[in-house]
Amino acid sequence: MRLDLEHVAIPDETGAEERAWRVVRVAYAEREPSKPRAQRGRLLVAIASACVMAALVAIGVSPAGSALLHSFRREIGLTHAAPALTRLPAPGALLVNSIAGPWLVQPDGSKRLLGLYAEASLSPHGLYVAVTRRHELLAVDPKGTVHWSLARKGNIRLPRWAPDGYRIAYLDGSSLRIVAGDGTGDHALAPGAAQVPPAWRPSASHEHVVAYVTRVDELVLMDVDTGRVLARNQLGGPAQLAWSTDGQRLAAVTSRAIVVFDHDGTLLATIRLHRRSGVIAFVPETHRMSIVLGGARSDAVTYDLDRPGRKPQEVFSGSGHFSALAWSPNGRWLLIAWPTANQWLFVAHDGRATAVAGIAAQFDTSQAPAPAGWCC
Amino acid sequence: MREAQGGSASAFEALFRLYWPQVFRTAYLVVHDAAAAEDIAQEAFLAALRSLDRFDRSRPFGAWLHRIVVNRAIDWARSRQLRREAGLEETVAPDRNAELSDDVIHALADLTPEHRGVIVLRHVLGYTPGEIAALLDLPRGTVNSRLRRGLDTLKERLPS
Repeated sequence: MRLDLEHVAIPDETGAEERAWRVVRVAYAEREPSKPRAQRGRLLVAIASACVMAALVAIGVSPAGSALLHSFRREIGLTHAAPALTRLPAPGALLVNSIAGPWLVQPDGSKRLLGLYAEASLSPHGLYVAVTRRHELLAVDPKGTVHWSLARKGNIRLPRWAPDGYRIAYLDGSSLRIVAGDGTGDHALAPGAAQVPPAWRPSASHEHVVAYVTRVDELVLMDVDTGRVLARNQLGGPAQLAWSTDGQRLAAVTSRAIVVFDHDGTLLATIRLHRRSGVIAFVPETHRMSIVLGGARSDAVTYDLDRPGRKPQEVFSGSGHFSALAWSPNGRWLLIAWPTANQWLFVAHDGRATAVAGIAAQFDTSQAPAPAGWCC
Repeated sequence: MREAQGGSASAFEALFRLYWPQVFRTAYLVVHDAAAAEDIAQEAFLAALRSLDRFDRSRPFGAWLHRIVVNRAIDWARSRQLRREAGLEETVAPDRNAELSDDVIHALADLTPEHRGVIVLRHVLGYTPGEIAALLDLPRGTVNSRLRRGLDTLKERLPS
């Protein structure tokens, strides 16, 4: 009996382990390890000393003191953070994924839980949201009303709406599938896709070109209406993808490099990273891309992909982990999710920053809610 | 475990890699749905992670994790069964794999979730009936009877 049970084949056993490890690893990185009891007394003394030092520095108001205080504030999250998300600093609705399900936040700060779904993606004009629930892909409107759904045998993940709204790409297990925006014409496009969100090429015409990564770390650019492969490029490891809003630059970001391609998949440049890469977001209407560089502390920086030799522009630096980035549609504000401080930061293009504290509780979750799109 | 509690990511990954295969397999054999088993096993690790600081290192980590995953898998399978009985959900046939797998999975499907949980703890994870009773907070007699009935059913269903 034992032998039989141990040899039962389980579908996608290895893929399940890697997907779970990615989630568990992030959760582990975000926790604060406890200190041994013997050290707790010393820790309290250290905290008290730090508070006294901070007070002295604040009284001193020397330039050096001011800089130190600034740094100290950033270590623990921004002080004077707003206690609640009462409004967004720019127009457009913000889609937020949380353990409780996806939320849609309006510019006046009102928000609506769309339902018990796992992942969500906004349609190009924000009229619908594609959401997933285990084996199901659904399209709901901003009030949460379901307009259509379809079910597949595998685990459905990572839906992404094409720029004209007429196609949705999603993963059914490791199979990349396409369905029309009205839920019809569902079909498999390619097997062996990595668990990376497919990325549609923005275009003024009604072309439907998608970039995706295979399980052997190959970047593929494909016209989904003809099935024609437009380009293939081998990457140096698993990568996340993002297009500039004009569709002229495609960034494939591996753990240690940003690989830049032209609109047709021609390799333009490789920018080596000396720290582990995190989440990415293109600045709207530009070829500049923000990225989180991780480690014990995180830095959000912006690279100009047309000048790959230039140093990146520093946006914000803080202790711990930045889990998501989202640029406002007008390109003036960058939202940085900072679970370590339980804050969201809104950093203006001129460097001003405001914060909202206690962000997890505002989305009815104990875990960090993550912005997944800021639209129109 | 001490290093994982202290913040060593590599130590925690070693724990994850060591226990994931049996935790995932355990969940799958109880729920018969790979996606649900993945969610249950992942959530078991996240639950373990949330309690990591409070974990008493004198107790076995594996048993703690197995208790979480089996209970969650039984709860999930039970709720799925209720939904089917209420007509809220269509019955989904288990994924078809090798012939051997099909036989075993179909035979297991004839057991209740509670019986499957006990069988998996005994015959996959190797716990004694006394240990299973302690893990699931059940009387030892209940464990023994579930094991006996479960095995009798499997013998009837499985080709000799």
